[in-house]
Amino acid sequence: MREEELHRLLTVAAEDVRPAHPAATGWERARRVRRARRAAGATVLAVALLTGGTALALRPTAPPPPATTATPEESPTPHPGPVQTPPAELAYPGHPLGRLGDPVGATLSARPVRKALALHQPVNPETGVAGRIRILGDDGVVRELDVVTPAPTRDAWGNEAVPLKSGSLAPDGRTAAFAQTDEVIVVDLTTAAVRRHPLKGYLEQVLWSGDRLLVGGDDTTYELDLRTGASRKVPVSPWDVVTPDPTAPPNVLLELGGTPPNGAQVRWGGDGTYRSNGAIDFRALPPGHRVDEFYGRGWQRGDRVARAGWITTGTRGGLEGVALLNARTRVVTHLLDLGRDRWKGCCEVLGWDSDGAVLLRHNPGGLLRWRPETREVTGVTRNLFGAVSLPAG
Amino acid sequence: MGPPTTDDGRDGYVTFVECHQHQLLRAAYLVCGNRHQAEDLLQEALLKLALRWPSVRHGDPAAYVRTILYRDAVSWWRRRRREWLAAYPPERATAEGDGELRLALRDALGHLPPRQRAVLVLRYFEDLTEAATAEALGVTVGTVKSQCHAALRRLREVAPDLGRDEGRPGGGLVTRMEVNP
Repeated sequence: MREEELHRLLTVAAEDVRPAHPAATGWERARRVRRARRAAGATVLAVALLTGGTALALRPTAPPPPATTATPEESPTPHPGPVQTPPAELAYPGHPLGRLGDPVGATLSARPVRKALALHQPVNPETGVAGRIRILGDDGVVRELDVVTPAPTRDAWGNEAVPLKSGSLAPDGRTAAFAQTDEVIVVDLTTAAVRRHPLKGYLEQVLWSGDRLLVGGDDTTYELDLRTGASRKVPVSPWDVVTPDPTAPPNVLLELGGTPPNGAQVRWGGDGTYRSNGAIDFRALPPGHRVDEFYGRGWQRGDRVARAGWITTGTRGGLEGVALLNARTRVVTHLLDLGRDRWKGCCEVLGWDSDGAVLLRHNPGGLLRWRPETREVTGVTRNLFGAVSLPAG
Repeated sequence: MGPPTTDDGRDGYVTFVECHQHQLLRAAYLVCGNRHQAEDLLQEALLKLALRWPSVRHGDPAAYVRTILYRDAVSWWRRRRREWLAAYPPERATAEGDGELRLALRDALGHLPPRQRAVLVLRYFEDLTEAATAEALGVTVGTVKSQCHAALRRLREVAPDLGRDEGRPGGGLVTRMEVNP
């Protein structure tokens, strides 16, 4: 292929791609941004004048509830509708994770946790610069991870990502793991002790399967026994494997992936590996509703799996959404339609709340709770940019 | 006498966008492989351009927005490298062969890391020099050379048939990909 031939191929490949927005769209958006910035600046100035800069810096924006298990309100009239949408105006009834964006109150070495509710690595949405990893304890205090600084994960081509992954925090909230090149770092959050386990490869993903740790890179997934340090390869993709229910039996994992999406139950043991493949079943949804492709991590609780994806609802395609499906039958039972005017890949599922609600990202800085049985969608926090990891259990 | 006007730059901005957005969108599509993502990238780049328009309008706004677009595209794909988006709705091959070619080239580009894709698109779609490509991506000319070489070699590995003269009856192989480091 000569250079001029490549030029022609590229031109042909893109020739029917046409802009969907008028040329003035950017200008009008910029006008709204300038206006919002001016309003925000005026508000900050007014508050600062009234309360003083120091009081402003220290005062929380809203008193969060005690850092205990969630106690959301029960919906009086549950609706079994399979396709749901969030309300136009989200309510923020209060949630322990609302403290995740609080200022750092201690270092982990000075004040280890009894149990962590979440890990957070801030990322500046304007510059992409990542900050230090933070730990929210069940006492509501945010610690800074000061005993180790995991490096960005990278692949063989030099592509990098922040080290905190959605699967980093153990189900019991007592341990955190970070995949690195040629090793995995494990931090005991209750003692601030750090252990390094050598494993070969550009390791990028980490998740917990009960008390076992799965660590993976391009084409290899290891299962690491943290007590002995022994590891073995397991026959699943580190990108598509679903974080299992912490009580699930060992040696059985579920993969979701592909276009069109399919699921595979993978079992392995001394006599080999067994893989049961099948397409995702959308027949429980209204006609024309489907997931076109999953993204992010899938999370299993009991027989249910939640994972984000790009969805189609009837005649509208390219929407952001979250699917709830049965792990055994691969039938999608519920679909949360999050619409189109959002960041691509805005709404990754982060796990399950203690009452069975799905916790998911919402645009770059938000966190939502979704209870499919009651159609209840509420806000947990907003303006929390960066990576977040919640315990799988 | 007409009504009084204020030159806030809107007209110039709109004219600029009308002239350039099609090419920029197609470039974004080639880099990220997805029309919706390409539109998102373009809209974000044009928003940033609008916010800086007073200071860049008299310079080289095309270079400015191109830099934003490509760096955002590479950055986005670094974050979501494994979450490859198929174009939506799925593209189908057409009888004329162009659809088949599009799919083949898109799939082949999908095997390249984002920076290599960006280098190829800047060099061979936008026809930029190595120096201008390096400036747009914020890398050295040496990096552009090495990335371009690696990208072409990878394309040859994953899509050896792209050198065929598609669309001709018989579709015979008329040339192999040649890599000139």
